[in-house]
Amino acid sequence: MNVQDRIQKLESLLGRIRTNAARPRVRSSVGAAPARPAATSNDVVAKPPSKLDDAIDAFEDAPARASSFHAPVVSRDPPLASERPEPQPEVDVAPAEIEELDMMDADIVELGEEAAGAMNAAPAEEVPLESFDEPIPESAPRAASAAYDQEPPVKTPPPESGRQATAASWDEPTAADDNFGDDAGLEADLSGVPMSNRAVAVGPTMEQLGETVELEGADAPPAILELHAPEATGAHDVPDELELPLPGQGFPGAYDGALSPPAEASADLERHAAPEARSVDIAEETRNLAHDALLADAVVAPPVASLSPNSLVDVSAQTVRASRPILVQRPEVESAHAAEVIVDKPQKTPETFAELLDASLELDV
Amino acid sequence: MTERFNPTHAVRFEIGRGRVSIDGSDARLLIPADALGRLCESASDEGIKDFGRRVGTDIGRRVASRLGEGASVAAMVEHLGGDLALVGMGSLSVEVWGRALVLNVVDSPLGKDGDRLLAAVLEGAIQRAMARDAAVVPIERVDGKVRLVVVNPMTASKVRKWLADGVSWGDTLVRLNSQSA
Repeated sequence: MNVQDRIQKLESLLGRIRTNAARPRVRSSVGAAPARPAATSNDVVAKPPSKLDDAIDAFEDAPARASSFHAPVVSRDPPLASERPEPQPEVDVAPAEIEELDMMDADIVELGEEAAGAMNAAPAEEVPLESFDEPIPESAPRAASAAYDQEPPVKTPPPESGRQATAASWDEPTAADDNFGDDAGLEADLSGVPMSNRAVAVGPTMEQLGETVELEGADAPPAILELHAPEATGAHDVPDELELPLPGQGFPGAYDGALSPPAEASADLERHAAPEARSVDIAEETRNLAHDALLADAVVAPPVASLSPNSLVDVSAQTVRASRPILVQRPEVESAHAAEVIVDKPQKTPETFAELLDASLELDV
Repeated sequence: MTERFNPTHAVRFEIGRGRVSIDGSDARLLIPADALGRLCESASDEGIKDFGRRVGTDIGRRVASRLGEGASVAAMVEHLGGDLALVGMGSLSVEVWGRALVLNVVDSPLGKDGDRLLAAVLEGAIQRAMARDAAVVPIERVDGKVRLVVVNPMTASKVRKWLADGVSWGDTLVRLNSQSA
């Protein structure tokens, strides 16, 4: 882009600024916002060519936009004249000429010249919404009041309902922002003024958000955990198919301390109870086994009917003494070198021809 | 220390007398090898064997005169091969396959048909030089090189039978070593 083109664009921008500044403030929440005619050379006819620096300075010095200004949602299709509501009276807006330039430009882009003329001709007085014949959407502002800006429509209307008045703090870009016919966005705003002159974000109200679940933050009271003991119900009485009941006292696999050793283990138990260790060869062990067997055979349990508490004790003692395990130990082995390495004897290489000849002559099949 | 084989003046040509001898031994004849080969083709096996053993015996006598009982293999190869070369029957070397003694003769003028005569010569030389009854059997001939295995006479007949049945010389040696183990 050359300098001349740039100058021309800036000059056109300046013309539009001044035109918009002279135009009465028109507020529209449903219909189209005051549209600005497409940038043509007509807007700039009467204006003598001003210095580029002055235009830029005037543009940059625009004060912050008033927070009460609502940015209407602009749709692509300009509304019909019959559907367009009366423009809302302006609320507190700074008398700066250029302060609402951004939004005005967005509005201007969307509408054609016809809509702009109609908007300009509209009276500036406030017309209550109740005078409209057509139904007013819920999201449309009811009255111009101080609380109006603070309470946007209850529900967020669907996109199909046309232009909606949004919250003052929402800085979401509108469709008009994308339709810049000029190069207003080429110049960087170095004034330090916030991009949006609207008020500080208040945030959507609960009504707007609809059925929103509030989540408590860190400052919320501590949650109360349910740590109560589970109720003892009878559900556990019904065993689950995956559960296996534990064996009771009568489980045969468990060790019963009251169980008495076998009758033949008594001798071995007495022998091993001795503190000194003695080595017994197999022959002696065999004699002991035979002796134990005789003892075991000699132990005869008295009839059950004649059993008395004392007799039971005696019988059990004899049974324990007679029934002891038979233990057979290996005899001690003297230390010996168990390893024996067999090495193949190397074949003697015949040193003389005679040995070689003899080895060959010994080959026999 | 075993003396080295010295062929110097080993063959004496007395032109006046028309006599050729080796180390002062009996007279020798210088005859064409193919003529001798043709003669061997028409001769019997016993005749060839007898003729060859006589020639080998003379060679063995000379070897035994220079070497003792405890001669090394290398010395035997040197002297036996030297005398074999003096009579014009090729160059001798020895191979040991396991326990089998294999004699290699290269460039024998008798050809394939003279291998029986060559084997007979070696049998006679070994028997005279080592005082042992040995049998030499040709097991392979390739490109002027013939291999002959030295075995006892009973084993020699089996070796000849294997060879006649198509057993290779390598398998023959393997059999000799495996069956004798």
